Amino acid sequence: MITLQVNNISKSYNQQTVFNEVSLFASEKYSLAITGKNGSGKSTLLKIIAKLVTPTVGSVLFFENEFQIFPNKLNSKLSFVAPYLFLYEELTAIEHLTLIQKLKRISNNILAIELLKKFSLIESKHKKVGSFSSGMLQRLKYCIALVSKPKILLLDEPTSNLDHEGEIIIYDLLKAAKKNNTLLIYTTNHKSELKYADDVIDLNKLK
Amino acid sequence: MKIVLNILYKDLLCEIRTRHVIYSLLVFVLTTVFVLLFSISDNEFTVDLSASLFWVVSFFSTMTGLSRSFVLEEEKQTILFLRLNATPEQIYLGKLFYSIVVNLIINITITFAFILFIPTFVFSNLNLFILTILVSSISISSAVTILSAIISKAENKGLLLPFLSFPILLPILITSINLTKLSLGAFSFENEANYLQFMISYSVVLITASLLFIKYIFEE
Amino acid sequence: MRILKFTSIAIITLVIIFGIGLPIVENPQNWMEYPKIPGLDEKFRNLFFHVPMSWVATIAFIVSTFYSLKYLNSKNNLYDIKAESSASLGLLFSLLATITGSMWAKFNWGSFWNWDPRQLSIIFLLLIYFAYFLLRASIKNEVSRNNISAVYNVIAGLSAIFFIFILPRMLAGLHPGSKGEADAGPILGGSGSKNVLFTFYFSLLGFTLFYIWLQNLSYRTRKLLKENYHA
Repeated sequence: MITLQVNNISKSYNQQTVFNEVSLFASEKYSLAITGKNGSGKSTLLKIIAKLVTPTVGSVLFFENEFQIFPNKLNSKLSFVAPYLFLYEELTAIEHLTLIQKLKRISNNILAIELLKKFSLIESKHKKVGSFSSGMLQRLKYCIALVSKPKILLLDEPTSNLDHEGEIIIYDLLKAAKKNNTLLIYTTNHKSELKYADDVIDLNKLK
Repeated sequence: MKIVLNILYKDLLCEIRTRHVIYSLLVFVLTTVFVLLFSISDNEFTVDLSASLFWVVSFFSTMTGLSRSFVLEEEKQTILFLRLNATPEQIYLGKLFYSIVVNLIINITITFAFILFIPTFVFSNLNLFILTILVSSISISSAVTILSAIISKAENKGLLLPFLSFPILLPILITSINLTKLSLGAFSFENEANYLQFMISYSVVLITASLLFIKYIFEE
Repeated sequence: MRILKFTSIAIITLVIIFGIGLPIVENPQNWMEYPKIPGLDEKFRNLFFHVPMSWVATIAFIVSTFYSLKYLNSKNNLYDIKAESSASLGLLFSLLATITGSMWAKFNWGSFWNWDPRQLSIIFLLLIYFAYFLLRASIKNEVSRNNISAVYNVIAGLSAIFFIFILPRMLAGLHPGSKGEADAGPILGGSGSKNVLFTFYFSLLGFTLFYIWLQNLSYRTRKLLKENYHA
């Protein structure tokens, strides 16, 4: 049982406040959507939850069965997909998947191939990522995120750069989060995408 | 440790695919050596001069080649990928080993260029020279890796790296030059063991400090 | 702080008056006269200023590194401001020490610059300070700027230990305390005169107090600037 506690976090860059005193509580089988205008700090909040950015005030804590998860253990349980996540142009799709499995200390090549098939990348698995289109990149990022069977899934604008077919796969993924015992948090600008979440936070209304 | 080696493997693989560092390095070393040969006649090459020139060329090649390790990740915005999947300490160590490998290649290339073209570059103590190259590659890498991480967040990166690293690298360069003079047979009362100890302890201190502080550099 | 201001300025004024004004004679009769040091003559008066300035430059550097460490430990921005102000004073005093030092070098060792290990140390300090401020100027994000410049300051501090305290003792040089010098004692001690030593230590005290006052002043100014103009 994984739970997330966000206590009263505020973030400011060079004395300019992005958001003030946000608190959240979330747990497994629970999905949360973050919405808000451009510049309301959706991505910053997601990065803070992923521990990529430190909040100016407040704390973000992950617990597994009442025990706090240390930052170095968090890496293997958490996956993050975002438009600003970039991959290595010189490496191929399959090399990325091998690298991520080694970094996260898992080994599941069958799942990797399955994911590549699911996201219809199996033909280009030996191509260098530098030659990929932005839609293919987004699909590959999902393969990389899902190959570790993450307990915590953070998605920033999940359907950006994807075609209709891709969007359907992602909507299935958002629905399946409950079944897979995943803690899902995503940001979105589309009203239609809010229905997949158990709860919605509007950062503009908090202010 | 396995994670560190995988980061190293990834960096080397990317480098082999693009050969960016290797090519720029070869061009750099060859042009500098040829300029030296044009401007200095054979009998003007004293042992002291060639030992110093060796490390001058090495310093500037390092600045062009090694600064890439963290800067490239930041410029191509791939650092996020690493940060999501490894701890700052693991990333640092991966980059450190990568720097050591590249720096050894740099110094070995320069050594061959100097042996071929520079008349006074003849060893009287080859073992000492090999030891010098090895130890100073490690020391220079331990300094440059953390500095490369430091400048990756700054704006005018190209200007900043030589500026920031010169004072930190100066002790290593001075000791390396002295050791090279000794291995080329310069008459001296100096004690080479002292110099080697100095460099080794310097890099141990730098690596320990870097491991302690690297997490603050990634903080935003 | 006001007492500190007046005491330090008074001490430095006295040192300037006595250090420059008192005559040098062969056999000093009273405290108003300095003894003649063979080979140095009038030139040794420089030491009343050069050594305290180098001393303050070093102290400022140590203080700056210390506050950078404290900042990294506590993440309290006030410590970062303290580190920055001490670094700016260190820059000022190492410039002054370089100027007075090259005067000494010109008249005693023949040229303004001799590449002596100690001269290398002061160049090292100057470069570190320039690099530190250049680094601060080129990072926009405040958190990154404070963190990264503090890390650089600490790394520079560690390398200063090697550069200033260990390396000069391994290399041959002109300053006292270099390698191969049997008597590493200070020049002034050799003169055996109490009033020279007194002026010297008095000057050291004056400059140190002056630094403490300036550090406090610069810290408060920077803090106000930051609070009011987000500078």
